[in-house]
Amino acid sequence: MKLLIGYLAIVTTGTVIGPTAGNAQWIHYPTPGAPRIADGKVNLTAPAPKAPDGKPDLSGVWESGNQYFNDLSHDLKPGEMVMLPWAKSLQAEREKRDHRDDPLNACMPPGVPRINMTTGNGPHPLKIVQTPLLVVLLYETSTNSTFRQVFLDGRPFPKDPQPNWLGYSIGHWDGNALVVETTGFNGRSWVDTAKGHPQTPSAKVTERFTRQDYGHMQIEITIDDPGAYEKPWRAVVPFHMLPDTDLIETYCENEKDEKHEGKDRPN
Amino acid sequence: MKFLLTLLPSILCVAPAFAQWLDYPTPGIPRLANGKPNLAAPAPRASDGKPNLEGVWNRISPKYRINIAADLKKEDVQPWARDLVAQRTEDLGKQSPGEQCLPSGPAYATDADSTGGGMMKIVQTPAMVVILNPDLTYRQIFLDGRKLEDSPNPSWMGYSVGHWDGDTLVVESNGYNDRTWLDTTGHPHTEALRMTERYHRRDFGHIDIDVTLQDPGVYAHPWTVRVTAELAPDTELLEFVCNENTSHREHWVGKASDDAKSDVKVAPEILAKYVGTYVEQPKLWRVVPRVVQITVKDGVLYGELDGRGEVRQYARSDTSFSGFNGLSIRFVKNAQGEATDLYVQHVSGDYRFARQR
Repeated sequence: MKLLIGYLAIVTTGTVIGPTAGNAQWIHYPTPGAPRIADGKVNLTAPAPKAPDGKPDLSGVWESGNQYFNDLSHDLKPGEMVMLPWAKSLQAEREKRDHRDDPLNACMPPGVPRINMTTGNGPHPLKIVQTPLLVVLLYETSTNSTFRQVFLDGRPFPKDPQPNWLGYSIGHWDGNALVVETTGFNGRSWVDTAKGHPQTPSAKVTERFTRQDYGHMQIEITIDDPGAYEKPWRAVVPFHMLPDTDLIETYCENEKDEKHEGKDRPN
Repeated sequence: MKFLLTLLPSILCVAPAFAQWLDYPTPGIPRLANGKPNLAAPAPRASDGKPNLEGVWNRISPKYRINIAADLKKEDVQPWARDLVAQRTEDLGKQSPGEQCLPSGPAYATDADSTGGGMMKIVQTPAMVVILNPDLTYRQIFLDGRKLEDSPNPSWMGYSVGHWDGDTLVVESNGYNDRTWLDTTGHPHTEALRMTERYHRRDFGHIDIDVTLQDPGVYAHPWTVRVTAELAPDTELLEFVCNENTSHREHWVGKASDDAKSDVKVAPEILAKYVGTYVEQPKLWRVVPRVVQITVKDGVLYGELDGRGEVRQYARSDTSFSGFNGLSIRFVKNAQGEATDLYVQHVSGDYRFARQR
């Protein structure tokens, strides 16, 4: 997994390596039903579409700026995010060690909310598949292709859940916003990459997905984690649609990846 | 180690089955008067009028998960591929993709864990079907009319398009890399593999799945295997992260042929007391009970797991045997010397099978 260490380190210093899987299937396939302007390009400022059940339709392939993958508190003012002393000291150590201890280096899932954010190594976008009772979030991630399920069927959080990487997500519509709440984390995920803000098992992450128009969406992320932070904090992450393309698969091959260090990305 | 291969990824790590949404009533399931799901109710329809395949399913595949070529003649498989299967069996499957925490690729259509069941969740929209697997892999099946490309970039999960043929969803896939195995025995495939799956939801609780494989570089002609999926109501997938559990690899040593070399002689009257049927005490996450049948022929003990054929068991002692491809079995006896239980021994722990009277 040195590869990931290598490229993540590169991310923090600002160099971007392009994706190598450019010959993957269907990355240039026209999205059916997308509104288009005269030259055939997708009209990214057309109104946000509605699903058959009248809810906003969030479907599509989306990516964010990579600054949030590196530092979710990127846009925050001092005092808006305050770590407890132990968390601050752990965060400083992770940053100093250039995230060599990042669970991604062991091919673990990125955790929530980091999994949403595009990395610097070419896009690792997310894809939203929406049904009335279930929203599925499909991810490339920089380790393994992974999914999350968001249940809209009214179920409560599980009682005494087995803690895991991606937690347990329930969602509801609040006007035009899909509000996704997630708990049940194992506490091993990092909130972001260059900074390595910690997450504890007491974390509750709330993601408000709002699609402003056809080509733009934002996720307002609230981290309520009294185990690591003095108070809940919030980041607003803009996403733009990647039209006429699709996810490509990524799988982490552990020691085999070492051979590709600095040249390739995991696939 | 046919066993171990899938047991490790699929079972070992979900074994701590604490309460999550494992007992939450699935919305929309027709129920009997006692509240139990009516699995014989008619198959539901999606809002677009097509059959609705959605749900958490348990793929029942005790036979083809072990040997995808079980119905083929020996000569239908290229000699090099037969040799490769023999080598992979002798190596106890150590090099399988699952052992390296890599995806199973085309084998997700027919694979299952050691219980013979494999969980999957189907999510359906008019334009797409997504199949979610407990190991966090997923398949996208596009129903938007796109065609498979002639030579796509080889991938672990392949590329899939689907269309409706009456009430059957027909899924065609290509573009697999050649590193996945079609079964736990290790039948190989090439990058030219084409797979066609036909999903027909017979009633609310069952999908018949016909999987046709075509790979002329290995197999003389296309062939079709049938697996059935049973609805797993009122439960959910559990997150399984394979890379969290790699320490078992240290214990995965030896060769399949080692068993024969250490065979010891056990008196026929002792062996005779082991003959019988042993059924596993089902654990929470098991859906299909496993059965071991013990017989003795010509002074030699044989074990058959889930009707997959008798396997010679080599004695390590009066009570301990091995032969299920790297797995051991151990008999527990009462004061009269009669076996009461059989334990299948595995790195994840012992699995108890009680003798049936």
